[in-house]
Amino acid sequence: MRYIDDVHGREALAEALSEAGLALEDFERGAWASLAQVELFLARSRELFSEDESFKRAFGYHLAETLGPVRYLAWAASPSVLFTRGFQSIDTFSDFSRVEIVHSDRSSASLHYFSTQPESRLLCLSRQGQAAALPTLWGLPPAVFIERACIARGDDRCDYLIRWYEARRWWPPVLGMGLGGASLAAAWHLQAGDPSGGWLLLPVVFGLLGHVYELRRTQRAHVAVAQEASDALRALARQESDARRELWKMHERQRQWSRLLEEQVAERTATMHRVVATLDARRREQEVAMRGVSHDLRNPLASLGALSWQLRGCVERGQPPPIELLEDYEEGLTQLERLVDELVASSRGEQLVSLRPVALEIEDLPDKLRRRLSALVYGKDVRVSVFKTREAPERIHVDPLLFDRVIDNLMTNAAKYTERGSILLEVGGTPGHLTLKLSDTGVGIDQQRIEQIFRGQGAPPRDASGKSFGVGLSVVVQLMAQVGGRLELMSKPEVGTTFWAHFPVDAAVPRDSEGPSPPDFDAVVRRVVNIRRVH
Amino acid sequence: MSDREAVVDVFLRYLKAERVRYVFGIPGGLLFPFFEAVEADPELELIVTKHEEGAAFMADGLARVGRSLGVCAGTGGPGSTNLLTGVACAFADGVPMLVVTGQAASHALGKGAAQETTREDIDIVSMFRPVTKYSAMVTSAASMAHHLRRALRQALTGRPGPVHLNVPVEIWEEPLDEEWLDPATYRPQTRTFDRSQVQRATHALLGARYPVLLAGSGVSVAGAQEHLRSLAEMLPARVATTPRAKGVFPEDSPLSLGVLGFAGHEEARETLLGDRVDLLFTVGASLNETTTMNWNPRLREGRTLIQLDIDVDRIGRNYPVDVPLVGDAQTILVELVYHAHRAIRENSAPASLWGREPAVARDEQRYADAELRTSDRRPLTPQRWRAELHDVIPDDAIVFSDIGGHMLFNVHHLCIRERQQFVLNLGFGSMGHGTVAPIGAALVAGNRPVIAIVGDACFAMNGMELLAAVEYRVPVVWIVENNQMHGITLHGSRMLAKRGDGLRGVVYRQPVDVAGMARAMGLASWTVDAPGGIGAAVREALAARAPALVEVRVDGEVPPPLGGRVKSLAGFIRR
Repeated sequence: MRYIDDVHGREALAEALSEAGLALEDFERGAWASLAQVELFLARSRELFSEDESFKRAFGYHLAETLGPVRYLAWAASPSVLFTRGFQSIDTFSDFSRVEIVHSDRSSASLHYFSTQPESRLLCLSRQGQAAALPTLWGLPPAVFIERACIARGDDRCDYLIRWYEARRWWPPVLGMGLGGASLAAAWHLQAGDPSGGWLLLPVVFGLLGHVYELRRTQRAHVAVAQEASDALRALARQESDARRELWKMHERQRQWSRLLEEQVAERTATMHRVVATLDARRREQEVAMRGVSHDLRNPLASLGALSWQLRGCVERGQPPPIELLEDYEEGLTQLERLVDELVASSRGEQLVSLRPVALEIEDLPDKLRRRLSALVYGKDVRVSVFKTREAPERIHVDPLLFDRVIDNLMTNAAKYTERGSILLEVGGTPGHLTLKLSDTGVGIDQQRIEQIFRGQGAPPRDASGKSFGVGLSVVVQLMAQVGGRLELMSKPEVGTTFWAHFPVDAAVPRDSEGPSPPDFDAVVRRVVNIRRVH
Repeated sequence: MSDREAVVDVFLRYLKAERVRYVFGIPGGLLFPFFEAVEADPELELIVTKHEEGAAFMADGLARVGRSLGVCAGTGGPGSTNLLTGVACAFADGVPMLVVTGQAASHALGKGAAQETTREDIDIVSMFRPVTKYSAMVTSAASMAHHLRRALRQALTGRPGPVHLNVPVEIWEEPLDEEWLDPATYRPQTRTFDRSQVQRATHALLGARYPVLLAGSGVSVAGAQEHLRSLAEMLPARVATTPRAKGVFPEDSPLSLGVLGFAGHEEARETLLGDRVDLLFTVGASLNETTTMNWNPRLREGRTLIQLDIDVDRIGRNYPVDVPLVGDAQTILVELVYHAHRAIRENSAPASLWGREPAVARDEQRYADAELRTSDRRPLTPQRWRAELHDVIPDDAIVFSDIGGHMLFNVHHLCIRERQQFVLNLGFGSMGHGTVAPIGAALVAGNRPVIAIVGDACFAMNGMELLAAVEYRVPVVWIVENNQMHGITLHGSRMLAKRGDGLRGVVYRQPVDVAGMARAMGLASWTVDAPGGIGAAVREALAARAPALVEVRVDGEVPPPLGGRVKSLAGFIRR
């Protein structure tokens, strides 16, 4: 088929295949075919050849190429073994035929081919063509293939005799000896029947010359085959070298690719770790912030509750509510609204506290804080003192919500833990800072508990009244850290607590991101909080 | 002229270091270099008044409200003497002020130069000396900085007050190589106090059963209103104020007794002269005639007296003192509050029993002639429109009062609430101050509304300064109570007169159309002559955020609450 494809063209091959009910695709993919289809194909193909011999040679076309280097290996094997094994293997691609080895030796083999199906002569010829194209011993000229019987001719079998030694190899010595004999005869005649003894050797000499000639011819053939084998082996070595080089390159590429892959995997893994850490940090921040905001929601609620009581008192007394009360009420609602907005933002994973510093005038701050603190202790036996000193700056730049949250947390804590006595809030200052000093006569906090609160060991257990101030103070610390402020604390159990909250006059520059690592609360505490010892 | 700074440049640099932004005065030849430099300085604004007295009043108003140095200037001669009354007001009330006056050139002194005011003739330095803390002539360029620093130190430390520098005209432009000194290096804070006396005072206050605080104008000067309130609420103690200090303690507080003394409230008088009070703590009150009801001895009898004043000369001057506290009112009140707080911490609760007493009356019964506060009669009563005004005055308003019958109504019938401020020049009692000083105050009041409640006589006396307010668009609302007379004089003379109907000469023979005059000066004006009209007029005037005037025509026959004052005057006369 390869021969038809190359010599007669693809259309001729397609036509021949079509006759057999096959398609080019079947040829391309090496599909199986029935015997009838093969016969039809062979019949159609035969029409393309003028004689049986050329038809037979077509079956050896490209066979050597097809075998490739295997044929050189085959040379090392006994030709009889090669042929007998080749024929014996026929049953691997035919389920209706078999081969019987009748005789086999180093120089010849006799084979019988049997088939359960009727076969055409063309099929037999194709078989013979392929057998003849097989390499022979050490590259010698093709073996003699003698057909002694054929199934296509009505015999019960095909009978093949294959020989690997040609008869003509004896012709040069024989011709030499004949020529020597003729020369001897001529000399005999010329010397009148008395040639010298040397003339008698002429047939032997000419016979040897013929033999030498044959040997040289055989040697040339061997040299040519050796050259061909050498070229083939060199090509094979080159191919093997190329293959090795290609393999090495592929190996290198694979190593590089593996390295890149490992790097990418490592990078992706690191990225994933960062993402996970960021998410974890964000989650923690969100959790802390939500906890703080949730906690801080109670502060305006507490103020609003106390203001409601005061408003109720006004209504019950038939007095119009003071405008300041209503203003404080509105302010509490505004604060509540902003906190709720922040809570919603945090639930969406948005930035929790975006600083929006504005100029906050300190002049009116004491009045506002006094009203707020008074509302928080409404109904308690607690005196409230709020005043400003000359050291207080005229204004500071701070986010008002953040500022209110800090103040509210501190004031709420003071109000919550002071059942009687006094709460004093001084709005003062040190150079560059607004200082709020909040002192109460409440229950106080012991040193160990202060450490617990500020060292990030969680909120202390609730006291008997169910109150807990761990959350609020943690929030204060974080908020103070955000504005670049400081918090000082001095407390004594059963005596009272004093806080100093120092706010910078100028708005704090936002700290550079310290990466996705979760905030080190302990470091923040160390930077922000100073716990004064009680003497 | 060299590249070195001139004297005037150094002078202005020191002023600006003291946060001075406005200079009030009327330019004239002998002070021309100073005014020229002020006008050229982008950080300063020259406010040209209509009369030098107005300049002093405005500087006074600015200093009282802005808690900073007021600066006024007048040229030589009458330009200097015209300042005197205004400076005396500042001196009497402890208002920090720098007064600059012009002088003839040094080479001409003593030769009779025009408007020369030297020791040889009319000694302006000596004239200012009784009404200032420091009065001096700068005799050379080299000594200017020294005099100025000394003047500023005197004006701003201790009990504040005015200082005066008289400068020969040629000195201003002379070069001056002067090392710059920061105010902190020559003007120390005087906030020291005697700790042991503070502890004694704390002990006495905590142990008192019925403590009363009497707040004077020193509280306002020291900015100690919040601190006074903190102490009062911590004890608790009831609080009365002097007339001049009206409003330093919120008069709507349950602890407020109102004003003691001149035009004061009965609750304050009864409480302080009663037997229950066992401790009286005066803060920044000089205990003068108007407060003490002619130095009533019952004010001292049977009680501990703690007197706090920054001026040691005032302590023990009129009453013997148990615990003297000399120093800045704010500083010492803070200390007292902290001591009391610590005492409460240590379970040493105050002994005050005021909490168990019925609350001080807050309704109309607090006022004398209470029925006139709700009277619908026409002409309008002074009490009625003030009662209506209570609901109109903004919560953060600064209310000035002038001197006269309207002042008595103001002191008695206005209720100054938390965050509001009441300013009254009663130390010297100069008419016109309450009319003009609000202009200076409004320049530094920010968004706080400034209202001046003045009488028609004060307006007639100094009303031309409203032109300055119009020129500089200073948003002050004047409420001019017009009774067509000097009411306090007429009614006082009626009470004192043994024959006739008092001094009828103080009643105008030609009615004054105050609103019309105001319109002529370029102010928006309203006239109120019936109940229910003041509210809308004042609201509109405030909304204008520009100089505006509301004339309130009242019944001049309604006497002001000056009974105590008349009695003391009678006492003087008898002597």
